[in-house]
Amino acid sequence: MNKDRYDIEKYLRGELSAEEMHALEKRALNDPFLADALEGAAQISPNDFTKDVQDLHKTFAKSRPKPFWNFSTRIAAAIALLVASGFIIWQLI
Amino acid sequence: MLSSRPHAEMDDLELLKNYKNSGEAEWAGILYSRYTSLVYGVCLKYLKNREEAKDAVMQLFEKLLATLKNHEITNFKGWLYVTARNFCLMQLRSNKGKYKEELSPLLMEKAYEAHLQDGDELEANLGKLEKCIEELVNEQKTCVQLFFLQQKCYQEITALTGFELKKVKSYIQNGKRNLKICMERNE
Repeated sequence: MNKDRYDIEKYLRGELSAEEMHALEKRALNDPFLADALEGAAQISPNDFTKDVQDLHKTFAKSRPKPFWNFSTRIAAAIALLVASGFIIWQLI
Repeated sequence: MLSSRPHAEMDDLELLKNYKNSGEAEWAGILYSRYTSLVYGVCLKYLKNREEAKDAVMQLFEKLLATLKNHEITNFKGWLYVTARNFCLMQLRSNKGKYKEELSPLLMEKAYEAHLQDGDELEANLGKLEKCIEELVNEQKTCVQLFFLQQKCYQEITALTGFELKKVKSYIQNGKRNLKICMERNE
């Protein structure tokens, strides 16, 4: 969840209260995903971690491949085909 | 955007369904973005290299786009964890030129769910738990009491006991494991 993202970053920066830190640590004990992520994230500086996550989000937004043959491109292609074949037939006649 | 309902309100399975039905990668992107920091953290843990870990997060997304379409997934988070970890482990192995069979994410997903329930069961049996805590070796007992009964965080426990952070973590993890064994024995 998004909540995890901010909690991990705040935890690494030491911006959480002791109570919040305990809650996250307890959650990590029962959640190997969170435990692994915290362990990995602690290997680099909190600033680097935040920056990398932001960069990754940006790349997703940019490189998210859009399906080419969606509904409107299909319609456009059909119309183009009709016009082209109409034109060719008209030329032949 | 894609729908009238804000996607922040949608749960994972709803986003997953939208992606499957429409084939629009954007849905998968929204879903994956929720877990970017977790996945990146996991990749850092295994690959121990910022660039390689970032690459892995991107490659995993491409892999996801293909896999999500034809897999029935009931617990996305659990499935993603197993898939991400396998991916990094496979990469480590291929870096070393070794090959081992990939663990089935679907099988592991069940193990993950079972793991998540451990915590609730432990808390339901507090009385028995206290008896078992008494049986732990000293360091584990101290750390487990501070963490579970007095709700102290790791940092506070290091300050109170003088143990290193790593030790505190392992005393709590091992203590918790021993507690579970003790509780099961006394059932």
